[in-house]
Amino acid sequence: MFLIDLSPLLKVSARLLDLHDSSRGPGASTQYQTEERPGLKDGRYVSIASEVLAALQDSGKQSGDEYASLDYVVLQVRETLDWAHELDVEFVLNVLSRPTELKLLQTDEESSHVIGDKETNLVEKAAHLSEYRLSRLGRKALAMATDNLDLAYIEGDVTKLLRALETGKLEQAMRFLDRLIDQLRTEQLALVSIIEKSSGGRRVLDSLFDDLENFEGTMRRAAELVNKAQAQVSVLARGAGPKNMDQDVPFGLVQDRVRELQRGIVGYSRRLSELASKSLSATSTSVPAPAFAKLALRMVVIPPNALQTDFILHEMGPVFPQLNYPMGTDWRHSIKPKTTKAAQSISLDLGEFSLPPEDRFLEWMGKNQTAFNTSIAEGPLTIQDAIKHWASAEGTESDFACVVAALTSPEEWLTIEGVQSVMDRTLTISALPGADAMHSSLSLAVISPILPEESQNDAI
Amino acid sequence: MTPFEMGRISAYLLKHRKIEFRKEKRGRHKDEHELAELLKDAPQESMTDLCELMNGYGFDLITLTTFDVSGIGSGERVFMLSRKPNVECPLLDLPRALERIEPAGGRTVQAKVWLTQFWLLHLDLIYTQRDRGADERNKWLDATFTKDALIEAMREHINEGVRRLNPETLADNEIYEVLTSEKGVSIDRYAKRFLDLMVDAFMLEDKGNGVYRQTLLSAVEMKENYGRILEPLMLADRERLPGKGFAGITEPLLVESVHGEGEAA
Repeated sequence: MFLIDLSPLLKVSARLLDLHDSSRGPGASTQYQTEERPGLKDGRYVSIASEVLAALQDSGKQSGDEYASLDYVVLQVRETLDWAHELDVEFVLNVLSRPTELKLLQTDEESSHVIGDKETNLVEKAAHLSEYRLSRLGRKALAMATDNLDLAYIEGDVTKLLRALETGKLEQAMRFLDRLIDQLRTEQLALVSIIEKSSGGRRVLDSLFDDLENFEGTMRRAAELVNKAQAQVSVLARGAGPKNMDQDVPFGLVQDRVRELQRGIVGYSRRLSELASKSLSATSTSVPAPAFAKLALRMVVIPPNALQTDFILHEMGPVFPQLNYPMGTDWRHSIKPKTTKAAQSISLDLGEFSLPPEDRFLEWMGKNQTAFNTSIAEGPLTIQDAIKHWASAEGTESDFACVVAALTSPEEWLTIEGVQSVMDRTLTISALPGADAMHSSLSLAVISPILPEESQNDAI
Repeated sequence: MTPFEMGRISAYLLKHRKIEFRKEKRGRHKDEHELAELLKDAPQESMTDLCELMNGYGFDLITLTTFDVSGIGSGERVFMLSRKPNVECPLLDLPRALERIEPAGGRTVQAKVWLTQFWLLHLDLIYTQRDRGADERNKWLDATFTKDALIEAMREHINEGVRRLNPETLADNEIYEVLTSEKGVSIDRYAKRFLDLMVDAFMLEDKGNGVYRQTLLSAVEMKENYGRILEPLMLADRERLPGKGFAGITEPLLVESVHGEGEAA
């Protein structure tokens, strides 16, 4: 028969019982009046109850939940608690087997209502007989009291996680992960507090870990198991997991949580080593906290120089960044442009594509059509003038070619009526950038309509 | 992480000293969550680059998770810039802090005295009186005090400590003169300025109703820097401990290191 500690159950339910029994009316003071719990102040009945429940559990196991006699229970209890009287044990059994009605508010989707719950007895008493056995709730209570949340059993918990992942039960895996991470965080922060407390030479409590080396081994094995869990997550990620995998839980979330657990376990192991090394170097249990007020007074007696004060304040006191440099992000979303957004233009990369000569001529002519028309209207436009105007100085080869094409094919582009092209055999030299060109004389001019027989020159 | 993102993160860190990745986005700076996600997902090489960049500025970039310190939820991270104890950070500006204590020009000495004394007394409230060592970063959530307690501590410090010193041995002592010239009204005024300054410099958090709590940044810097900056000054108080003989060289050591850093910068 192993020892059952009922104190965790008592502790967790004490405040809840106070709330259940409270008679505070709506609008009354929020202060809680401490309620008297007189009792005998020796804890004897709770102690007997532990033994009674353990005895009944033992008897239930042996006899298949048969009722046990009062004598048997008394005998079992007195084996451990020799001061317990038979009447004490009977009293405890009577209390444990009495159903107390609790009033609980139950809320469902539509309404809330108060229900009475009488299933509170931990022990069942046989009708008409002084015989007892554990009730369903009694078994549950013992399971809760012995549920060991000690981190020393983390190995088993991580194994459960691994199995859940292997069978694709992600929802269950998430529950395990949440519990493990929460437990690990609580334990680790407690360890951090101890390590921080032991800094500066304070001695760590010797009884903190009975077997530090063994505990480190446990954490190492737990870390290996989490690595396996991580590998299993990778298998699931590749879609090679079981077919009936839970689909409701986001897979990325499971991955993140397993990674977090891995970091936690590795960190915990590292801190255990740190604690071990600190324990070796600890010298005293009574290193005082730094006395800052004394230092303040010492600074009055022996004033530090300006450099020292500046250094201390600069390195540890309140300081600000040198200046408030404006950052681009300061104005993000706060300044709106006045003009409407320009229409998007599509930029195409034409690569080595070049326009056909006809298109290039039409493009060139489009730019210069007006100038041509003006020149022709003002008088005859000779090829020398055209070359001088469009193709010399800043003109290119392409401009020269376009001028020649324009003068020799006016019917392709002319928009004004009555223009005639006249060519004579006089040779003229025009200067182009980098070369001179010799050509016949050619001119375009607006003329009044004439009869065919009056024509003297070659006409195109 | 691109250079542009690294620039945004470093600019934000220099301005706010921390970036928190929290699940709850409400009440936080609009850029903070975005930058925190960048930091959280940053590859190792980028983080190394960013840490080195911050080292160059005179800071350590410290990452804390739920397993490192209280006050950080599961899956959350806090990235913060802690001043390096051996490097004088050129980006930080002490005179601006002094102006907050004493806005009137030409009163820098008074400002330094009040700031240093209030700063040490507030540390006394959240460390000494709680029997808390400088390394005990994890207790930052419980490190609260009230404005009244700080004022009372300063009043007691001046009346029971400073005014009882022998004035003849303290001739031309500026700190003594500044503190003893207090006529009963200055303490409240300077306490308010000090607390506002500490809140704006991210060292204290105003919890309302005159209650202030140490920030995680302050607890981190105390843990990181106490040993190099303040502990040498405490040595003289610990006569029974080995190392007493070194107390005498604290001052020259401190001054030399400041000179050295200044020249290097």
